[in-house]
Amino acid sequence: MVSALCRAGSGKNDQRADPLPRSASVDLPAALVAHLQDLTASIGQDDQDLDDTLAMLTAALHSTASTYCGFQLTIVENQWPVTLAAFSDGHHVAVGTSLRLPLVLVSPAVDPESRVVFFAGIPGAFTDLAADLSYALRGMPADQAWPAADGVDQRGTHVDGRRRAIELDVDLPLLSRVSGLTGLAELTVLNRVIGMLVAQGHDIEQAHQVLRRDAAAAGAEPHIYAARVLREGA
Amino acid sequence: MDFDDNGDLGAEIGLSGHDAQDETAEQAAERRYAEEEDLRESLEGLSRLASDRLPLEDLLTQVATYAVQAIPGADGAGLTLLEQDRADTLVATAPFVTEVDDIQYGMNQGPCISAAREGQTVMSGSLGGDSRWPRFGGRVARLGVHSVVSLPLITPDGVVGAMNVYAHDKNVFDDRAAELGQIFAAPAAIAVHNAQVLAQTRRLANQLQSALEIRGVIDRAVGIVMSRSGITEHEALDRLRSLSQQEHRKLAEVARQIVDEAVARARARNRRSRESSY
Repeated sequence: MVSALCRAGSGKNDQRADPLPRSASVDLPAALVAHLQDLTASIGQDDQDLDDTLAMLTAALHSTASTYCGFQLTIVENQWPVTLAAFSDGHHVAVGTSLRLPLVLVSPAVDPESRVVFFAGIPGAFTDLAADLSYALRGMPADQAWPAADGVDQRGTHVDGRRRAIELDVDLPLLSRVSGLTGLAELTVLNRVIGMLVAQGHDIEQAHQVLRRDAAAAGAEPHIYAARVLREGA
Repeated sequence: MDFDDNGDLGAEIGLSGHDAQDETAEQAAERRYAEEEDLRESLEGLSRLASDRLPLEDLLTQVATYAVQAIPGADGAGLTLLEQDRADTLVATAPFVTEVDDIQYGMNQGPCISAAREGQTVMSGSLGGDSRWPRFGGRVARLGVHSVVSLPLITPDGVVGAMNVYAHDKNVFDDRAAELGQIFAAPAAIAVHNAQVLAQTRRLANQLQSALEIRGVIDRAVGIVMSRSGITEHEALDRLRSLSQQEHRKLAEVARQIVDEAVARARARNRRSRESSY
C-alpha cells in the first residue's frame, strides 16, 4: 500500500538499486487513497495494491499526454455503477478532450457499461492513443468502429445496442472533477438486502427481481428502498 | 538479410562495421537493400502487434525480436521498460542478453543506463576496453560480448525505456546500424508506452472488479446473518469476522460459504415447492 503521504513509489517492488532515471512520483488525492485502502481492508485483501496500480497508470497517462488531468473508471456490478475518479489538483485547467475505452474491449467478462474515460486539457491530446488502442484491441482504427445501419457495426461490436468502440470527446463537458470512489455505499446496501432476501428463500436472481418489484411498488429507486429495508429490518 | 536453416542470422551480417570497408559498390548496395528490407519487415511486424492477444512481456519480446532483425549484426536484444517505481519489465531474445543486462543493472553502470539517462544512442565496439563502464565492460567481455548499441525509447514526454542490442564480435555496429535502430526505436517507444497504458488500465479494472465482487459476497452474507439473527449490520459483520478468525479462514471464504449454502437451500425449497404443486 502507498504510505500516508499518498505518494506512489514505495520502491518495495524494485529489484535493483535505482539503475535508471525515473519520472517524478505521482501524488494521488489522499481521500481517494483512503477510500481504496478502506475497500481492500474491508474484504481482507490488503495485498491488492489498487493504489499502486492507480499511481502507475496515472504516471503513464501523464507521459502520454502532458495536459492529462484525470480519469474515471466505472465498474458496473449487479447493474450498479461504482466509479473510481482520480483527478490532479489543477482544477483551473479546462478539460478539452476525453477518451472513452469500454472495458469489455480489454476484459470480455465485464458488464458492457463498464468503462474508463481519460481526460486532458488540449483538444486532440488523445488522438494518437485512441488510434493505437483501437488498433491494438480490434485491429482496426477508431474511425471505422461506428455502427452500420443494421444496428451491428462492421466488427459486431454492439452488445444490446450499446457502443463498444473507443470514442473521443463523448464525455464532455466533464461535470465533476472530484476524486474518490462513488457508488460503493449504494452497492453495499443493495447487496445486503439481496442477502436478506436470499435468507428468506429466494435465489440471487429472484432476490434481484423481488427488490426491483418492491422498490417500484414503493415508488423508490432500488438503493433507496433497500436502505429503508435495512433500517426497518435492523 | 539471409537466414540459415535455424532461422539465425547468416554470417554475412558481419559486413556491417569494419568489414564493410572491403565491399564493392554493388555489394554495398545489395547489403543496404537487404537492411532496408529487414527494417521494413520489422516495422510492419511492429505495427501488427496486438496487445490484446499478447501480454505486455510477450509484446516486448516481440519488439526486441524485430529489433534484432532490423539492426545489422545483432545477435540479441533486450528491452527495459521504465515503470513508475516498480520493477522494470525486462525481456530478452537470448539468454546471454539477460545475463549481460543483469550485470549492468546490478552494477548500476552500462550503455543502457547511459542511454536512458542521457536520452541518446550509446554505442561501443569493444566493451572490454571501454573506459565509460570499466567494471561492466570487463565482465561482459569475459562472456564473449563485445559490441553494443543502446537506444533510448523516447516519447514526446520523456524516456519510457531503452533497447540494448548486443553482438559477440568486436566493432559490429556502425553509424548506419545506429541510424536504423533509431528509426526502429521511435515506433517501438510508442508501442511500448501505449501497451503499458493498456496493461495498467486492464490491471486496475481487474483489481477493482475483483474487490467489488468479493465485497458483494461479504455484504450478501451480512444480509443473510442479519435476516436470520435479527441483528444490526455492524453486529452481523462482526459475527462474520469472528467466525473468520475462529476458523482461520479468510472473511471472503466464510462469506462465500454462507451465501452458497443459503442459495442452495433456497433452490432446494423452490424445487420442492414446484414439485408439490404438480
